[in-house]
Amino acid sequence: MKRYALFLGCTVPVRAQHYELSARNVAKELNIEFVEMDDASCCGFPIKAVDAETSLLIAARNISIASTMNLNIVTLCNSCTAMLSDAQKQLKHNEFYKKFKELGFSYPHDVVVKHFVRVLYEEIGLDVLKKAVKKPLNMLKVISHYGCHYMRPSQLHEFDNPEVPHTLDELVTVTGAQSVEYVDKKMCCGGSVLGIDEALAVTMANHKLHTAKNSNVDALISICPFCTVMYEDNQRKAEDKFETQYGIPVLYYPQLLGLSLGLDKNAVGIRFNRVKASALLEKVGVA
Amino acid sequence: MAKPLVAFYWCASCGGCEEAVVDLAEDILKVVDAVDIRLWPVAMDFKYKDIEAMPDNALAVSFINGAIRTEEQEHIAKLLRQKSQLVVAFGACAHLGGIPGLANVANKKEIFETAYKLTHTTANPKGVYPKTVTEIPQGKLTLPDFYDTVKSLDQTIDVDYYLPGCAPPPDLIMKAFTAILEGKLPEKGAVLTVDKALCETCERNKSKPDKLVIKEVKRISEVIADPEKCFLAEGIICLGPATRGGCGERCINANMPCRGCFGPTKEVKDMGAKFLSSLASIIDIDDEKEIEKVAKSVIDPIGLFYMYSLPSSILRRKQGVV
Amino acid sequence: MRVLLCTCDRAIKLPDLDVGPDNTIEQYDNMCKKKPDITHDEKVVIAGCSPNLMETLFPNVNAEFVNLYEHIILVGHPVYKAKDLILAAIEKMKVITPVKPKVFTIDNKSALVIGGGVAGIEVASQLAQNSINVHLIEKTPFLGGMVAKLDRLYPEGTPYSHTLMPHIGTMLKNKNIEYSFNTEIKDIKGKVGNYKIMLQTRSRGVIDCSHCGKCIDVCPVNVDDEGKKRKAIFYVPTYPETYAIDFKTCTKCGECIKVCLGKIELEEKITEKEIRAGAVVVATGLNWYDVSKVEEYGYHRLPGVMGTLEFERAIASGTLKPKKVVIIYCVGSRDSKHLPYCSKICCFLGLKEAKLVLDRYPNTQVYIAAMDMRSFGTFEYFYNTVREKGVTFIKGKPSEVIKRDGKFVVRTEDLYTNELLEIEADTVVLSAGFVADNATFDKLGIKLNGDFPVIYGNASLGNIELPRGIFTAGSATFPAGVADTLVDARKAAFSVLSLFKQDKIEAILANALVNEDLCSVCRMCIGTCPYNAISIVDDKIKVNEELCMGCGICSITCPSYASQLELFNPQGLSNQIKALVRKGDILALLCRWSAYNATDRAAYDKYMYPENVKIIRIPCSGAVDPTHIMLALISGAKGILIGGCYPDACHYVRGNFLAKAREQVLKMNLQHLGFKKDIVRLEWIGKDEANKFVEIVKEMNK
Repeated sequence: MKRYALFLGCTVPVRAQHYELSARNVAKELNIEFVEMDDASCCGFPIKAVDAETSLLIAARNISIASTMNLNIVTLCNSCTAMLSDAQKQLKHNEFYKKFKELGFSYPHDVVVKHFVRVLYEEIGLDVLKKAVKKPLNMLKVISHYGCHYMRPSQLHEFDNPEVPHTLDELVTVTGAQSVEYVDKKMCCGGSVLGIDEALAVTMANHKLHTAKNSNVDALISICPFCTVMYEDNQRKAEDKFETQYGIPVLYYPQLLGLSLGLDKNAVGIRFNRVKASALLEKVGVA
Repeated sequence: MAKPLVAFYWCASCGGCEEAVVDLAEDILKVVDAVDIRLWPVAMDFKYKDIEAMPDNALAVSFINGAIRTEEQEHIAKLLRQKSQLVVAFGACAHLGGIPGLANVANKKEIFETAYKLTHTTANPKGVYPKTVTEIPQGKLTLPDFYDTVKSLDQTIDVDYYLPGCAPPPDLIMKAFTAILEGKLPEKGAVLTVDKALCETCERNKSKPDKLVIKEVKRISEVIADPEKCFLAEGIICLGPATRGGCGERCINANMPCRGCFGPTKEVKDMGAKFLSSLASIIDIDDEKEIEKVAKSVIDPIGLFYMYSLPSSILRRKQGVV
Repeated sequence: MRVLLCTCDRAIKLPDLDVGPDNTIEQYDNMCKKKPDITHDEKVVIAGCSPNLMETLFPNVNAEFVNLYEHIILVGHPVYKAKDLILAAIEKMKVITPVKPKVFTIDNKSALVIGGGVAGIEVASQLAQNSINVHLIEKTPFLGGMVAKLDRLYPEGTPYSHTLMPHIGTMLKNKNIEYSFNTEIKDIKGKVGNYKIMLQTRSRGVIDCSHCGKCIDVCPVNVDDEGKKRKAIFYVPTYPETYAIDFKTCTKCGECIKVCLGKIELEEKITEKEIRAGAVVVATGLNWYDVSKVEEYGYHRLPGVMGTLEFERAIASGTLKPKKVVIIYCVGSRDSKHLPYCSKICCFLGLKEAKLVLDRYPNTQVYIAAMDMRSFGTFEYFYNTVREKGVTFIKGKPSEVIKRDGKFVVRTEDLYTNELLEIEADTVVLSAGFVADNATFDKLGIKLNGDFPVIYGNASLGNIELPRGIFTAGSATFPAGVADTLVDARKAAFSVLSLFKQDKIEAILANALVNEDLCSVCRMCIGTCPYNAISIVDDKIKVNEELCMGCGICSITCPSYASQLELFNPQGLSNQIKALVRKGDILALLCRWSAYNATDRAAYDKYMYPENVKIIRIPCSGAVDPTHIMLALISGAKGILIGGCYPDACHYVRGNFLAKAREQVLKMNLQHLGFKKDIVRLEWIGKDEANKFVEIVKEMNK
């Protein structure tokens, strides 16, 4: 039984219940225990551009909680992953550590921060997942969206290959679904500029939705709630702005994996998906 | 044949050197068998007058530990010198001044003020300080004078050999003891251990990278040191390169960096100055401001560089307060 | 010890100078006119005028120079100082190890040339014409190197053979060159004038060749040799005339043997041979950076993305007829993730490729996507020629190369129009940077750490005062075009000839010696040497004589005084300071390259400074140990000034940074020990900054 402290962050519990639900249920299937982090707060990412040091201290506080629990952290959101990983590395520097201690925090045990998808890849492994698949999704074609903070900057995460990413594609392939190669796989969803320049953000999101449509895929796979906000919540805006129709379901990876593990549609929280995935569910046979 | 006469004496010390002798375990029986101990304040009931009564050079060897800080210690050290053929400075305090030597950043006035007046748990409303002479109706009471400056043993008397360490390890004590009994001693003034720095025998030496440089100084209390890597390579200050070996790297094996208790290597007089030169030389930064930051991150430089050796250093003590 | 005292035309009178029973004084009226004889192994004190003059009068002596003229007479200081300075100098010299002359006998006057490209050919040729026996080794089966692979040489546009073949022909006329093909060096021992080299030769496969070419027709293995198609058995029309087998691709099917009119042996053999040489010339040519590491451009990942050589060979052999070509510049160069430097010739190579393809296929669209165009010198004319041919130049660094709908798309910024562009193409060419041949230099005991020898100037291959035995020629020095390579090769040949004109060289230069009785192999010194001269050999610290520049940094770093610099060691300076400093003095330890010269300047320009300033000349500000400072303090010094070169100007690269680090840590200690913060000052004083020196010591004297 693998145990991790689960860091939910802010967006997942509010806007991505299907991500949390599917992740928890998939974890149960794979014998992973998620332990709640009492008093965990926002990871600090939203104020990073305004006051980097404070944002890191906020992140470090969460690290401190997990450290006291003597557990490694699993995150669901890309930004949380980057923020917490950065803070954990900063604790090795005297000056930052001093400020951290002055605020009354402690770091008794070393904490490793990993995205849930990375844990599935590195610590559970493709072989175990392959054996656990009960319902291969060979009928599905999807495009996999990595997002920006899952692997970049490479010096922080030291995982996958930011120039030629492959881990998410491999995880999708292990469910039986076909992860289609497409141009601009590395492109940002636009989420970071949504608050400043909505038109630009929607244009960026549209680019990948357009590619998805042209590739005739059944879904776009996301691993970050911010990205899903762009591709799913703002899909209608993109449709309006560019006068087109998409109707492309945006699934979180654990939802896809859950379906392949034999979980039913409620267990993976399909009802929370805003762009209806009924056509996909019919194809899979879990309507 | 009469057994050689031997004295053990303690000056400004913690008692650890006495315990080191006891640490010989069964070997102490060999010692007791081979010699006739005529002075050992911690363990036996001989008095000073017993020593005063002896002819000069009656004692084969006196092992004196502790630094010289009071009049009494100075007096007895000189007495023992007079009455002994050989004097061995036993332990870091006698060899270099030891940890008591750190008091050389202060003077008698500051020390007494702190000890008898300023500390929280001291209740001394009348401000009584120890005095060398106190008149009472029955006569005069005397106390030995307390000096401003702590000295090593060889700054007080002529010393024949040094047994280094805080405390000297039992195996080194036995070796020295055996050598004295068998008359197989090196030239006078030798430190009874190897001449080279402990890096030579340290297991972690090979883990050093080809180019040993540090960019940041870390305190041993704030990180968990890798038990297989050289401390310096991780940015943790270890005085190993400047410290004589022969201790078996007991501290290193307990995952603590060396603090220099065996004193400097053969050609070095001022251990702190030499080590600080070496340490500063491996700071790999080309920006003046950054260099200053790293230098300032060494908290308590005197305690670090001169932990055992301040009295025997070139400057010996803080200037301008005495 | 002899004390040689120049009275400067009787200006100095020291009647009661007592140098002790072991030393003698010799007085001269003008030492510059009547020079006393001094042998190389004796220790002396020479008191007269500035060492800057004295050292030229008495080169290579083990002497401490005492400056009486500039430091006492010209500045009007009292004569008792002269006594102090001389007696202190004697104390220093007592413990100094005299410099042992390093003797090099040039026993063997033959040369090994590594590399059979145009550089190696030129060196071998020049040497052979001057009656030197040469052994030329080449790691491929044929001569010619890079030039033989090219189609044409620009800007002239002449075929490669027009340049290469005449040079080969000239070389072959010489009888005193031995050639070994398919050969590399296994290891090398010895030193200049006396190298012992073990060569390793792989079999050529073809023993006897009638040149019929039938083997090539029947060989079933097709090889893409950097853009040119050939078989596993092949021929390059340079030299020798025997065909060769590429055993990396040969399947040993035996078809060639069936038709061979000569003799072929398919058994791969490796033979070793030891040779001796007096000098080695490294002419190993260009090594491209592995651009598959620049992943965004897709080399190896996306078939069809090629390097400049592959492109050139493919165009020249007619196997590639592109319609749209994009050439990307600075691939891997000027990039902190890859190569931080500029490789100089790639801009030109890119232009060359552009002209090459346009000359053959004038309708091809050619784009060059480059951050800059470094067409230095007369290559600017070539740049204009190519522009006139209609190449589109885009200023910007491409972010990635992708494949979309079967075509390449190069995404780049255009800094002139401020746009993001997507250029479609069927061929993408990467003009990559070059790397130094670390492997060969490692074998020769020279650590380059990824840099080219030229970057270090003279120091990389040894101290300029020591005779060099290893030379570089051509692109092994730094990437160069053919014209520059030939010039560089002739320079290397000349260096070898100059070396061989001598039979015995005695170099007197201070080196760091390691006392094995004190050295605990703590490794503190290795990283501090600015010249990478210190390494671990057989578990012991070894100083490479040929690289050591005598700066003294390691001597001060060593926590056991195990490292001793000849002619200057820390204990000598300690003794000098103890003897020289009186209570209330300001001790000035001045670097001989900068600050010390400022004091001479002060004398000439009549900037007066207080008489209690006592000056000692040191090799580098990095040669001062905190122990020295403390000795000065205990002797009563009022202040200590360490004068060194400015941060980017240290004669020994970074001695002054070490001085700074030591000063900072030392200052903290001194403050805790009750001294004022600026009792010790480390100042950068240039060699002409006499007023700066005077101001500082006056301040310190207040």
